Amino acid sequence: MSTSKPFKFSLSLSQWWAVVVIPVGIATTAYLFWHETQTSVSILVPKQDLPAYHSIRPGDLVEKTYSTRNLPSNTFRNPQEIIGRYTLIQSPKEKPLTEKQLSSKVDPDILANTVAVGITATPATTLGGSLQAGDIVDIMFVPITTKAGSSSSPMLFPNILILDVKAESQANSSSTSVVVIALPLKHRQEFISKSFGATLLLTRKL
Amino acid sequence: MFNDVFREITGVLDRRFLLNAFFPSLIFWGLLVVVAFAGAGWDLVKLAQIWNKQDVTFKTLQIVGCLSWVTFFAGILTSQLTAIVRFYEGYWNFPLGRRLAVIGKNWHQERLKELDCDTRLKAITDQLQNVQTQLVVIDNALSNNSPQPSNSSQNLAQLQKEKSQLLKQQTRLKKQQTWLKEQQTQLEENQASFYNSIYLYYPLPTQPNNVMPTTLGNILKNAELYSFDHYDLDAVLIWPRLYNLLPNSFLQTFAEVKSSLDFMLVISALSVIFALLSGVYLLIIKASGGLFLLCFWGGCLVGWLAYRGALGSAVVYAELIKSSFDLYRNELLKQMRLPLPKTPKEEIERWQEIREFLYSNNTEVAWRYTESDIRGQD
Repeated sequence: MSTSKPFKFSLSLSQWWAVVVIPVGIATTAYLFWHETQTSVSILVPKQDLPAYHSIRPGDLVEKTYSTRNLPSNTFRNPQEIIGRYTLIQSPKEKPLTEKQLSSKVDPDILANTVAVGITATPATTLGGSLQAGDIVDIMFVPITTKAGSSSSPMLFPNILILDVKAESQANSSSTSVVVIALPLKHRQEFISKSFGATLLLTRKL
Repeated sequence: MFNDVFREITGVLDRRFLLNAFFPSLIFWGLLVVVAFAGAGWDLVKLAQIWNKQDVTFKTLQIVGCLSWVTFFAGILTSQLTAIVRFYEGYWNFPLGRRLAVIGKNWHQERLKELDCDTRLKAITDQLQNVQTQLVVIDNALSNNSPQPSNSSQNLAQLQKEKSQLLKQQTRLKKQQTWLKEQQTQLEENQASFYNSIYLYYPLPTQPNNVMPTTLGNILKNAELYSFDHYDLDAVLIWPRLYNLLPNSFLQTFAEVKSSLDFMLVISALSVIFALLSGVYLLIIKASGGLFLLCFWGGCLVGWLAYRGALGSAVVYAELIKSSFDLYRNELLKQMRLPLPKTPKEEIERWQEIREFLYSNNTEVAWRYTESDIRGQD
């Protein structure tokens, strides 16, 4: 006759439930994390927040690893694809850069010593809607002819980079287009003085 | 504002339907949609912005469509409430379910045996008596074991050996006796709590075959068997008749407790279904491990907590059923124009007669309808 109760291993259904649920949860999570690491890629992303119309240089970027599942389909993955473009909108730090955020490739020299200038555009200015970011155009100011005759001769600003073309919706359902150009810093004063009371003509080589 | 809207809606729809089925269904489907998009890698804020940019008519149609689906689903859920309760009670008639039911039943039967103080005390008392008898035998043997001058040296050695064996046996039996006495004291101290546990959570220890695989099943089984154990009154037969005689205040409490039990079980069932559905979906699309863990374990945890909550409501519900038999069974006899029994034995016979009368239409019963009621009808 024994003096102690015999040990009997027995679990209630709640305990069985926990015995099944906990390992299944751990095993599946481990598998999903493993799968995530298997499908990760290293891409270049902004080191800090980049303002709009910022020409991207190698120093602006840092390498980060992301799961392919979390990357938008149109993400730039190669550094050669990113460098030489400029941002069309403000780009947050450590977020993948997509085609919508960046312009087409431009000559870095054309952006050197320039300022962004916005011009209210008409359908004629946007070349019937065909004008787009990255285009190189000539801008001409034609003074309005008065009865007394022309006050001055037309002024030409050649090889101007179009940074962006935006259509802004307004409350009264009409929309206004804005063309953003990269104006060389040395022409800024001249551009301001000539733009008053003049008709803007925008031309693009075919 | 919200209270006014809520009051208006609850005026149109049944309040219990809203709380027990509609809102849980709304949250269930809402979470499933969120998981479906989040798992596929959508930014939820951006998604909300896209949705918000849609035409008002289209948005209204989407909302109406969603609410219609949720209402339809809630309707199905309400119609299946009894099935949900029975599932949680442990009525599992599917291949794996039958195996699980056996595991659950065995565990609860073991637990019931542990709670059965009377049988355990009786067994311990028997063992103690047995040990004491053996000790008396050993004491006698020891007193007869003293060496005599006539004993040879060989006999003396033999006697010494026997004595040492007897002393060893005596020590072992005394240890066993101490242990049994400790067990007896412990059981006597916990007797009240064990009785209470059986009274609330289990069928009587004499009915191990009625033990259910789940705690909820045992609590409700206990209530179902109570009237039969105490009065030989068949609850299934009598309850629909008795229910109509219960006072309104009692019925209101009863409905609230039942509603609370249903609510907890619906939450538990939907949480577990959510955990399984979202888990399988996230595994198929190979979503983030963190999201899977959150949905799967989160759903299972909420399901378990809601089930534990349902047990509290089930105990109160079972108590109300038992007390309704204790308090109002005589009202039923009066309503049936039967004389009230004078002794418990007479009462048991009366309920047996009623059972025979109702089940097998046996009109050869011995009762006579009460005089006052017969005069009242004249």
